[in-house]
Amino acid sequence: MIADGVAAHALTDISFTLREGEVLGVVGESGCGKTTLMLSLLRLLPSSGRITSGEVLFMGRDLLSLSEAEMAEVRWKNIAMIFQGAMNALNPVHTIGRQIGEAIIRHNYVQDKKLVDNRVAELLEMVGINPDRRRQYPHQYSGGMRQRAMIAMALACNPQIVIADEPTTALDVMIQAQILELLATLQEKLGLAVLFVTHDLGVVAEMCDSVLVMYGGVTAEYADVDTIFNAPQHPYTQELLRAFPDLSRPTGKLVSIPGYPPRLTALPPGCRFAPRCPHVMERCHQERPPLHTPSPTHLASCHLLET
Amino acid sequence: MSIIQVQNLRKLFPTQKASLWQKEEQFVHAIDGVTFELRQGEVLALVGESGCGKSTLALTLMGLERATSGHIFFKGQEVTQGRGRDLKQLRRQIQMVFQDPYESLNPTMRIADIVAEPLMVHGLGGSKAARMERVVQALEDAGLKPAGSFLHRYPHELSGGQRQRVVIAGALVLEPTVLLADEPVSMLDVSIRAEILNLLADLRQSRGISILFITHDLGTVAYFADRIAVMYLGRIVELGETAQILQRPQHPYTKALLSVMPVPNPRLRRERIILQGETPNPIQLPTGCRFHPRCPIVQPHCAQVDPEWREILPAHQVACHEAGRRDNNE
Repeated sequence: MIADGVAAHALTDISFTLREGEVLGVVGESGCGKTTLMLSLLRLLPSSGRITSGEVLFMGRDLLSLSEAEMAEVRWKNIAMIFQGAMNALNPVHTIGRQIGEAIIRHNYVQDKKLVDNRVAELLEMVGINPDRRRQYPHQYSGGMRQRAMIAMALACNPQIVIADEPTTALDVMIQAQILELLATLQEKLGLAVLFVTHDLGVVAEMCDSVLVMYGGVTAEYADVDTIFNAPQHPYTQELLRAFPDLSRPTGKLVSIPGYPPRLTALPPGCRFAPRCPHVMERCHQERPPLHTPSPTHLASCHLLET
Repeated sequence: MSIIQVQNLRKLFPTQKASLWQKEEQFVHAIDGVTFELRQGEVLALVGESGCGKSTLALTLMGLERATSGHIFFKGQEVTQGRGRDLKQLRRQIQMVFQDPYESLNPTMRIADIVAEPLMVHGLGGSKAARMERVVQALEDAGLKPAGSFLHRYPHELSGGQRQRVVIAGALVLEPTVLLADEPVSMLDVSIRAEILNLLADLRQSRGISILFITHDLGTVAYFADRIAVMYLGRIVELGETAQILQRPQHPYTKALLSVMPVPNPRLRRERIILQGETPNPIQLPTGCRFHPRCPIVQPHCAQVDPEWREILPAHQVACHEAGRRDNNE
């Protein structure tokens, strides 16, 4: 799948490839366009947002050229999403079982009532919830269980791709560990390709095969996980790593990046990271850096990489 | 020297009676026998998952919740049941920095008025000009320079990091001796967290302020705290110096927490101790050791006997029967 979207400055020239069974981490700070990117892939942008150019290829088919009806077929059956904040994403007046069943029926996975019920039970079992609890309401679930229910819902129609938007952000560390373990197990068992959106570099290091680092709506760096953590080329990636606490070497000093992320309505000309970059040069303020390829599988947008 | 001393503090909240026939009132055991001291000029981190009672503890220290039993001493004076003027006096000394700078600032007030408000409440600062001087000083101490350019702005004009600095300035303006910081960076972007932590560290250095740092994130604590207290279900289960806790944790809960902290290093593959289930409800506490239903090294007696708070290594305390036994340590 290749995405290359430009939408009213929220995203510019984002390209990546998600392979079968791969876990791709999408990392960035608030307002960097992570969520916009995910919503663009599913064509779920709010009405004010528009994708002005680029394509989203799913197994060779451009999702952006599909009709709304065709796209509805793709959603959930091929590409499903686990939303952030399970508390708000579940409907409080319906049982969990009914909500998961609704996803199954809506997308015509199975129709027969008995089969739907069986599938719901099977899904809950798969995410570690006692199937008897499908008749309960969201408020009877704990935060961790709601997130498990969200995962069950995403898996309802056996998708190939799951987009997980900050699936553990609001959870306690121990519950987060349980959910991450569950996701890793399911990913392997079902051969899922996962787009994992997060701001937590620790989670990325533990879960992902490759990483897309975004900044101000553009690609800062894109490479396999080992390269990103051990040989990052973009100053933003380097600084972000230094700002992130690492329990395995707590003697180092935490460094902050001066300034704050750009607002999408007031993007700096030239490189978007220039105002905060420790290696900034004259031209960074005028010229937008192209995507350089330090190696065939490594992209980074920084003038320093020019040879 | 200790600034705050807490002895066997308990805070119970009554719950609604389950039914007409249930005569016995039930309680949420939010804090259930907590003992520790906050020393002059130190940063003590209080670490635990949501619902462990860490925020209730902060509110009780501030006098915003009344302790059910136990004692709180501030500079040697008992303040547990303080009221009226005494309590107000205490709050001048102990200030709080809240979690969410997007919600803890009044959007209709200018920065100058927000920071001046505590002075007004406490009748301090004298004339308007003198008050403004203290406001400017507090803003600059909180790293908002030049302060003049912030005075007449509104919260929405500031970034998250700047807002949190305003919150800190509002606390500093009273020149407190203690800051209670409840998750002060968890709402901020990673790239600006360090600057707020460094600011707090500087304040400790320059003013000798003691900081009680409440968080669920062991990662940030590692760089910042002198000592760590780990809470579970209303009680401190382990307390010691930061390096000790991180490198030689003794309580199985601390060990598990540390093992699941995501580490930004893909080459490091550690063994994770993932505790199953969730923290039990604080109304019906487990018998014996409150951690025993989830404990990976549980023994039969753990279900019967509540472990006592003991010093296992110098300046390192733990509440666990099994901690330190040879067969449990690698």
